[in-house]
Amino acid sequence: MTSRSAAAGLIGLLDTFALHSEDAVRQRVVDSAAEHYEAEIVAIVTGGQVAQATGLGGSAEMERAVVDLVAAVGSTASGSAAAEAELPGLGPVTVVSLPIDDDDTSRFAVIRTAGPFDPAELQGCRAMIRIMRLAARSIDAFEQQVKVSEQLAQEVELNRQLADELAQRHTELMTRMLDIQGMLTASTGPVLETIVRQAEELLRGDVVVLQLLRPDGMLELAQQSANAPLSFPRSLGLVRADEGLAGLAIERDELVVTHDYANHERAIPGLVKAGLTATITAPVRRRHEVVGALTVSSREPDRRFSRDEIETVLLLAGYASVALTDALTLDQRQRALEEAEWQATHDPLTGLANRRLVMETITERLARGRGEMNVLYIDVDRFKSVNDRYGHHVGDLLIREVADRINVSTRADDLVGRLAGDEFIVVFGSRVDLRQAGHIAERIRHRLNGPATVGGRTVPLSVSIGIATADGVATADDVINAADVAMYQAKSGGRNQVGRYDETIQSELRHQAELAERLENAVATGQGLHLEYQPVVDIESETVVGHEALLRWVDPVLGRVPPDTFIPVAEELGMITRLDDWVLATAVREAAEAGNEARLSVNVSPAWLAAGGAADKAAAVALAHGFPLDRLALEVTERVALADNVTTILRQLRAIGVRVLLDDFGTGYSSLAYVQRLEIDGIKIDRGFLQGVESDRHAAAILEAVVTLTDRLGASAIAEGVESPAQAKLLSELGCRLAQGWYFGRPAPAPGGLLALGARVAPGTPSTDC
Amino acid sequence: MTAPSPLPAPESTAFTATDVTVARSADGDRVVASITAASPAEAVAASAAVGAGPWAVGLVFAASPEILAATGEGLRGALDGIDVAGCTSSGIVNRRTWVEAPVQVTLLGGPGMTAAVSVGQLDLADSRAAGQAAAQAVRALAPQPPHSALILLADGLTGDTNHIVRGAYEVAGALVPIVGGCAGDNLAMKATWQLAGDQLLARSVVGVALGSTAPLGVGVRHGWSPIGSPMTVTAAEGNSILTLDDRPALDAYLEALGFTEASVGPDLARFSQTRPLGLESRGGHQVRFIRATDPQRRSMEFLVAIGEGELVTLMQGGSDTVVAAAGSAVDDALAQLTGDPLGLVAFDCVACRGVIGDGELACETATVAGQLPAGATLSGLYTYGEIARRGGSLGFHNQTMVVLAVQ
Repeated sequence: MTSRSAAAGLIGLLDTFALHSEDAVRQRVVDSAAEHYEAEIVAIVTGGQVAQATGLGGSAEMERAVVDLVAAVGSTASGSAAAEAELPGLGPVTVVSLPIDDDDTSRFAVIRTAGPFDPAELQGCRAMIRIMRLAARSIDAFEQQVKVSEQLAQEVELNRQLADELAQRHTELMTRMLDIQGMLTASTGPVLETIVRQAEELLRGDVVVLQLLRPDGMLELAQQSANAPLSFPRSLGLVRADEGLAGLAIERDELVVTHDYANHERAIPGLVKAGLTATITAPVRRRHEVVGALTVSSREPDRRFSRDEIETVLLLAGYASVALTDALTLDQRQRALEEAEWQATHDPLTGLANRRLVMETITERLARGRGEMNVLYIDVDRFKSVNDRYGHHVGDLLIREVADRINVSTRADDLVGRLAGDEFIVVFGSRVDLRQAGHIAERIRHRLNGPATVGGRTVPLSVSIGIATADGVATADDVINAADVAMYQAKSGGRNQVGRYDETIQSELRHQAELAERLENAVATGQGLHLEYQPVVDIESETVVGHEALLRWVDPVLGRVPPDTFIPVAEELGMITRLDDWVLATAVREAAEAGNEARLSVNVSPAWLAAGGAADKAAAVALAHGFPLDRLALEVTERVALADNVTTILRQLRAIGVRVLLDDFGTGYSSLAYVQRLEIDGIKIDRGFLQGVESDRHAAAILEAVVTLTDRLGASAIAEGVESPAQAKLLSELGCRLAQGWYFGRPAPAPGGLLALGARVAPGTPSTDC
Repeated sequence: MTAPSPLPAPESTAFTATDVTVARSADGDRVVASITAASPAEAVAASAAVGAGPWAVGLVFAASPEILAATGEGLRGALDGIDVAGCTSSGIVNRRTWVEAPVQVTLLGGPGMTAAVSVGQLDLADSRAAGQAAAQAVRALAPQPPHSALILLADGLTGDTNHIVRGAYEVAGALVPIVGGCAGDNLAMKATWQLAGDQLLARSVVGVALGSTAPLGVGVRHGWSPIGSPMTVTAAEGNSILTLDDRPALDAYLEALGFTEASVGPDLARFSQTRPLGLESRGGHQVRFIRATDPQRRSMEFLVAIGEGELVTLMQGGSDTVVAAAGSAVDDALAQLTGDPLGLVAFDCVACRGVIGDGELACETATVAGQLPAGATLSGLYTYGEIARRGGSLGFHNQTMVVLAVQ
């Protein structure tokens, strides 16, 4: 445990990199070492002084003793990092003293009464030092960065100050500069133009140009004075930065002045030819980077620029720098504003509109009141189980995938938003009518139906969609609520559907609520619940081999409620495991009371299995009623495959003799892979497989394949919903031995419904109970 | 896990009559008195009637901030020169198991005892700085006593109590043991109150430095042992663990216990509060109480941060192990004394009440009291986390018994 907790202590220290002061890092490391190595005292000793420590309690005597101890251990001839010693008040201690830096000016000391340090702990102490050094280095880098940013800010400020100083010396200049300053918040173009014009006027009609450096190393003409000769712009339009004096000023980041242009090594021949005699060229910056040059040129023979003129050019270049820097800052601020606005109205995960933008958009369109507006409410089916099973990372990836698929199914003027979690919304533009909205909803449902591969996992995916039209409603909330109700309806209709909002939904919802309430009562009291048993027969001999227990609910007010209606409600409201418990206990009791040898199969929900203790529960019930476990089978659906640990749970069941049957085979993914993976004992072939099987060769071929493969996998196949002699005959020919259905016997309550093993059924005879 | 209780359960943990115990050292140098009463007035009157002294400090544990403040004020008026400190609680510890008594006063004094009180405010400073401020009391003890301890009474619902203890330890040093606990509010977990002198405080930590001419003993034990293999905290945020072994924390926790949310039923909060995690450390496991679970985020919230990379293990315990641990804590504390104890101040975890039930509290109290001489006092409170740091190791505990023995 020692080395494990030593490692844990180190991992915990990684967040020291988020600390911005060296003192904070040292404190973290000192505390952590004290706690993880159970040390009374931990200290960092630098140059004979304690720089950071815990456990000294402000005692100068203790501090002195620790400093001496650290020095003594550090200098032992053996070079050992640890030693035994005595400390006043603490008694015998072990001292670890390790150098922090290469020149050994600082030491890290860990002192404890709890015995010697093992190698893992010593290594841990060394690693703590390393973390301290690394964190200190990253703090250095951070501080450097802060310094550089401060310097840059100062530079811009200096430019302004310089401008102020110089401006004071020239009244006229000052007036002109104020003009420029006043413009500095405007966009860059006019400011640079004004700078160039002022330079031209202040410097007696010489030629002024402002060139900016392009990423390709060429200098581009950004501004030029009005009196530039026509030949100028052409020759100066684009020049290489490594030619000419402007390039030199940029290269060296300094002012370049020449009064003998023709003989300057960087002179451009074309300009010599044009009669240039003298130039001043000053670098122009954006932030700290030289990005161009302001150049004043003369063609007057023997022109000499005065000191004031040179300073004026420098000053103007400074202004140009400020203008360019401000522009950059403004640009960034604008971008930041736009970014903030975007973030306030969009979902960071998907980039879709968020609830706020959706509500604003609907409200705005309702206010405009032109044309009808349709809204889709899309909810991912069973998203919670994806999150639970695969984790939030995969959940997030799935949400993005869904967002992408919805996006490609809609048009540019439709607004797609994410309201929360797994809930999406589409607000259609005015040209989409209800019929088209329905088509698009179907398209989206189709695109979102089927497994999605995200984060290397294949995840089942389907959505339920509600459509609502915003006519006669007052607010965005009303529209969204209506669409939500329609979605809920689609969901309770079996998911993976599109539902439309209409008035009847509301009453349907009320009905659902009543149903839920009454069911809760039935589950709590058992009142109105009973079981019926349908025989499972051997097709060949037409004799009973077992029964499937079927739950029935007859409510005094609602009457007989079909399982298809109340089971999903029980699942949704979390009553299903209690209901399953009741069914299992009742079926086993009734079967035991019937006292025959027939097998019994009972349906259980994925929730019941996942709730844990399935095998224990089954064993307890069987034991209570003296029912042999090898006669009991549990029927589960493919949905159990989604439960965690399902293989283990099913194995535990089989270990005590209970068989497991896969129910409703053919209604879901119909994957025989489940039979193998879950080591299923048998499958119940859904009635859907049997429809038209007598006349449809393909259907028969599929059925045969299923029966054969099931057989090969060592499982048995039981056909459900057999209604005619033709179906029974065909099943027999295809190799299916077992079946149930109205043809062989209708479900009936105990005791009459529980027939003896081997009893002959009278096929085709309607039961008197139904 | 439930062991047969050696004692009949009390009929009620409710308070019935004022109870006073006074213990003096043979030389009259040190005195401890424990008074459990129904109201501030009765507590103050009974304290005044004890008559000994001079008192160095009165520790007040009360069921409400009003009772706390009124008792403190009354004591300061009635007992000349006394310093007071205290906090609200979720039940008090005394020999008679009157858990629900409204107020308890522990008086410590005599010529051989000194005390000082300091305060750190958790809302004005970070937890560590608050701990440092509360520990300044140790430096205020004058003259330097031969033996001393620092009692911290903290609001565990604000800040990170680990940092409070770290700060306090830095100031108090390795030679002054730290004990104490987090104030309660009868399990509402909303707001707790502290008392220091004439100040009724919220979001604070009060430090009481106790100096004595005789040794002080500290015991800290929990009755939990690890089960299963440890899990690594792979994501944490503040005082919450988000994932364990890269799985949603709540799921990993429930699964390791062999439960699902469905099988736990509606009271997940109570379920998890009595099934803590253990933080692996060199000296064993530190119990970490699960303050709350978040079924949406699938996370678990604790009273202090548990960092990423830490190893945690499921812990099991029951009334028998909890009671046995309480006994061992007292043994440890008494072993540090050189003579008979005058009194014991206990900081017991309120969640242990949940584990052993109020009915078996009598058993725990009897075990603790049974180790004390007949005349010694037993006082204390049920806390939202216990504090005990002797030398190294983490100083914040949950579901643990911490005792301070005074000789």
